[in-house]
Amino acid sequence: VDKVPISALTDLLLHKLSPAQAALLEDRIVQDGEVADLLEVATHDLIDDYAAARLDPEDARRVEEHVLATPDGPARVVFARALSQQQVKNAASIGRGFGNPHSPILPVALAASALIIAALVLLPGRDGVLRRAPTPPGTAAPEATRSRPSPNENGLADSVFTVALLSSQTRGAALPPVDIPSGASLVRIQCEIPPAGSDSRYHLTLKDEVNDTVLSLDALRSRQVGGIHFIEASIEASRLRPGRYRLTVYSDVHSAIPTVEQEFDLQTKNRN
Amino acid sequence: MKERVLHLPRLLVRLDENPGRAGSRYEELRRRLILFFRLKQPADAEQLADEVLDRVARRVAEGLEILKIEAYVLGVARFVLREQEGTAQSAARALSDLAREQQIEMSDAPADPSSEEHQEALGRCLEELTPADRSMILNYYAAEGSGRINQRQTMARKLGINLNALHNRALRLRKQLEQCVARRTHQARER
Repeated sequence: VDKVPISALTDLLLHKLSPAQAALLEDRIVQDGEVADLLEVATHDLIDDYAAARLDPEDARRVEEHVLATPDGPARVVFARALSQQQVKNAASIGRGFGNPHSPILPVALAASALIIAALVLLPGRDGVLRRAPTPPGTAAPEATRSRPSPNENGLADSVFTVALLSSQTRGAALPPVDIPSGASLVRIQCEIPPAGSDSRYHLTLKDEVNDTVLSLDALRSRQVGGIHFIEASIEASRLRPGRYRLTVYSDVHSAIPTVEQEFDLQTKNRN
Repeated sequence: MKERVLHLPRLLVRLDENPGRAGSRYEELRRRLILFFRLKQPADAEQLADEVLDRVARRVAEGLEILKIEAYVLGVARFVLREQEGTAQSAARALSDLAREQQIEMSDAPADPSSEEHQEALGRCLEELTPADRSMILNYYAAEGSGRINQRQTMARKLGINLNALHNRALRLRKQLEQCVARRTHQARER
């Protein structure tokens, strides 16, 4: 029996298939429990995407018309939003960043530094003072746990380290430095931005302490997870040296006024 | 309803001679029929699924020999669907439009008053899971976009199970959580 790709079932749910294609899949759903399971998977994924506003307007309309027009449709969206919020909390508590399941952080981050990083907020206040979040309890870890990557709780060895820069935090004292663990090959930076239209594009620059540009990206699209809008950029860990970095986001490449500006200190003392 | 009760035992025996397994097969058939009808008549899917099973049960009780029960059920489902589309198309569309309008109103609401309540309920329901299940469900649904497939395949490989087994675990946990959240929010409103 041929396997049915989830993408085909997603198209079926969105009524994008021809009647003949749709009929074939509908037959499989009734006669094959595995295909029925996959249809449920595709349905949940679509509802989650709808709830997180990740769909384009046409697909969102199709989801409303064909997927959510069940008596329990509204409750399913509310559940999806609650689940998304839990994922944001989960990501922030273990340093994974927004919307990244298990790609992605070094386990040492689980133990120590990423907990601090995820809680950091370097967004300047109106008076230009940097703010940070209160460091969550239990972030200190024995030095030995920082030594090298080990599988996380899902048995995944990660090589991407995520720095999540949130904006809604309280004023704090000295900023804890971002400590990139050894073994990290890529640093993913996620920066919260104010909500904007889904067609907005952003320009991002990352400069080091001598004002050299180490990263410059155009036409970045914002994403949304659990009500948090953010943009994401990645850079090889080897390109980052210890020191202070300034990340600036513009709503347009020609704009003079930054949408968001953040600073953070980087340490790489544990890198090999 | 009385007729349905009369006919159901014969269908269950036809599905499996073991009563426990027969019940499971019946529920599984019903689940697939609901999924089938949700594609076409989302507002009435459960009712139509029950209608199909009633008709099949009646035919079995009348002594009809059915070789492949799923294929027969599918045929009846298509017939019921044509009937439904033919006789109640405009009514169904009106219902669907109404549901859609309600959905749009809900999704446009800037601050859903029930969202915090659901959020809190879900937090508590997640705490009831084992740490492994909690981690699994949050990771499984945290994947998004085109990365979902690869990430879930990696997850399944690392957990030593196949992708279908991972999907099943996620579906089971999500259903468990949905039921738990519904129960908790219902209890909170009753207080």
